[in-house]
Amino acid sequence: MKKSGMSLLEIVISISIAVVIFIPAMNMFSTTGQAVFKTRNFSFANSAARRISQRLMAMPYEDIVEVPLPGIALFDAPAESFFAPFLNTSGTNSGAKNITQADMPEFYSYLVQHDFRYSLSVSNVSFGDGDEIKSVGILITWSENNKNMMYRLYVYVPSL
Amino acid sequence: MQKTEQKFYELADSLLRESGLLANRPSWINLRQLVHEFLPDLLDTDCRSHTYAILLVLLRNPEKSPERAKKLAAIIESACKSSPDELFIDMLRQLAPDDLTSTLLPQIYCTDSRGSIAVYLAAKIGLHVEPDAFQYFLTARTWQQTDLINLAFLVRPSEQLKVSTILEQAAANESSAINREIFTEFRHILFGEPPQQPLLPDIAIAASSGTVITPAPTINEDVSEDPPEVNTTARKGSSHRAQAFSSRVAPTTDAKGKKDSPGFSASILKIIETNQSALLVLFVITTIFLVATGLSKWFVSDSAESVTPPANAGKLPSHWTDSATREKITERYLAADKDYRMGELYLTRDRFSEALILFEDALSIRPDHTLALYRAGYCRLHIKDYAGARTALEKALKIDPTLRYANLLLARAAAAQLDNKGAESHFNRELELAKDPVVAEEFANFLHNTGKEVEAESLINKYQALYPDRILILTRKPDKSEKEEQRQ
Repeated sequence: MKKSGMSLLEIVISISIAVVIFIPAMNMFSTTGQAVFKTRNFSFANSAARRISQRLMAMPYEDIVEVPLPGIALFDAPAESFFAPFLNTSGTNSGAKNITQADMPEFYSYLVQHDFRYSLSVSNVSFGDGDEIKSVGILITWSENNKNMMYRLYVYVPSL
Repeated sequence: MQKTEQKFYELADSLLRESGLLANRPSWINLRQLVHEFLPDLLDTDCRSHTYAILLVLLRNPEKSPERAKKLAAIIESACKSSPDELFIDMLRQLAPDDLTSTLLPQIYCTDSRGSIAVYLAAKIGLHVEPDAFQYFLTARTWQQTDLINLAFLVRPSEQLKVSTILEQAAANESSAINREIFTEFRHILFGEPPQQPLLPDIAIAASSGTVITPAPTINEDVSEDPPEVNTTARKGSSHRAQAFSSRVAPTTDAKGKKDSPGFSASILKIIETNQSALLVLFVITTIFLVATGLSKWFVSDSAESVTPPANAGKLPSHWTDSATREKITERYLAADKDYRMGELYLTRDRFSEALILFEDALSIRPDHTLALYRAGYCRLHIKDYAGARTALEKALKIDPTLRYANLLLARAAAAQLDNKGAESHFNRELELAKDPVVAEEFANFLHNTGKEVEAESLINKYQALYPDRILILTRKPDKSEKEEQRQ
């Protein structure tokens, strides 16, 4: 009599095939996910450093001062700092948006989750007659998969 | 085609008016001739049921030629496309059993309305089939309940148990759940409370001919018309049984939508059964992708339900990882880097001594700072500390043998120390790292000034060919007398 159903061997082979397909598929997804995750953090750190460098060029020379590590958080930043206000699409102060839980909750969560901070390493050299140059190292730090990451950007700001 | 049909009916009418034995009437002969020649044309027309009856009468003779069997089969197949009437059923009863077996029973396998009508007709004329044939009928197509009830009339009452046993065994060996279910249902019908007479198939429109089949009142017909053997079974049931059965069957004879659904679902189940492996593979792949998509979303997701900073947030870690180079960055590393950058600032004003101090500071914190070593060598070269320059540059090259321009500085230092052989060696190494036309030009001039004019020319020509858009020239170093003249 013909017996219907599957034998143990068939089940084992099926599971083996499924596992062989499943594990690389999972790795592929997780690797891709991690790459996307890292690239996003790197891009954000890069854009934050650029923002600071642009501000450094426009701000008074004497206001460029050392910000020691571990630095200042990008979220809940103090007023009139590099990231407060973060954006202002209106012409008045009332339209200013800060990176706070109230103003930008999703962005705030992202920055808090990764503890994004900035530091400034400033070296001042005076050549006399008011000829001075500051070498500013902009250091953006964040936490990623329990690793402390750093992005560095160096700019030279002349006094004249 | 219409002409044939008209002639056929004219001859049929005159046949009725003529007297004498049927076989001797002139119209009979003409009618037989017409059917013999134009039967396909006639069947293609919109035949009425009694037309089929006349055709059956014409073909009712003891002759058993293959041509006759073929025509009979064509008539019955065509008749099964529309609602049969009693006259046609009566004529069917006049046919020999083997004629019916070879022409009517194959129609039962048809999946459209013909199958249902064929079962009904077979049940009406009291045709019986062998017990082991039922399993083939039942697995051949999907079955409506009305058809199953009519099929039950094809079982001889004395063989009901045998048919049931065969179907039970067949069900045990059957892999298809649908077929098992149909076997079981048919067995229940066999031993249930069957109606007293076959039920008209529950089909509103004949599939192929487009003829509308009206629900005939045959369900309440005279019981005396039933075949004797069917009656023996049917009569066992009382009138209230028939009513009860009618009510049980009633849902299938209601609205069209309701009656279509069981067939449709059965077809779907059949498709699923026949494509089990493909569907299983599809299911596994879909599951993998769904799970993987969910996990990847989780990996990438940044919308944490509760905003919690990392445990070490705000604390100074022992080190960082450079996001671009993956280098380990410590506070010492950063301090050395700061000194190095300050040294670079002094170099912008050619203040080599101050810059050297800062580069040495950087090296005291981080002795393997390659760029600080290179710059220290550069500064020492400018303050004419050739030995110190060579030491720093050689150290830098030891750490990074591919460091650009360190060999060039070494060559200059060697040349300044009149070590022409050493200088040539460093020039060559620098050109091995990169075919830089500026370095090549300097090397050629060095060769030219040291008396190796042929090599110098050769080198210049070689690099001029490599960089045709640049002008590479050999200049002679002024000797002491020329220098004196220039001073004066």
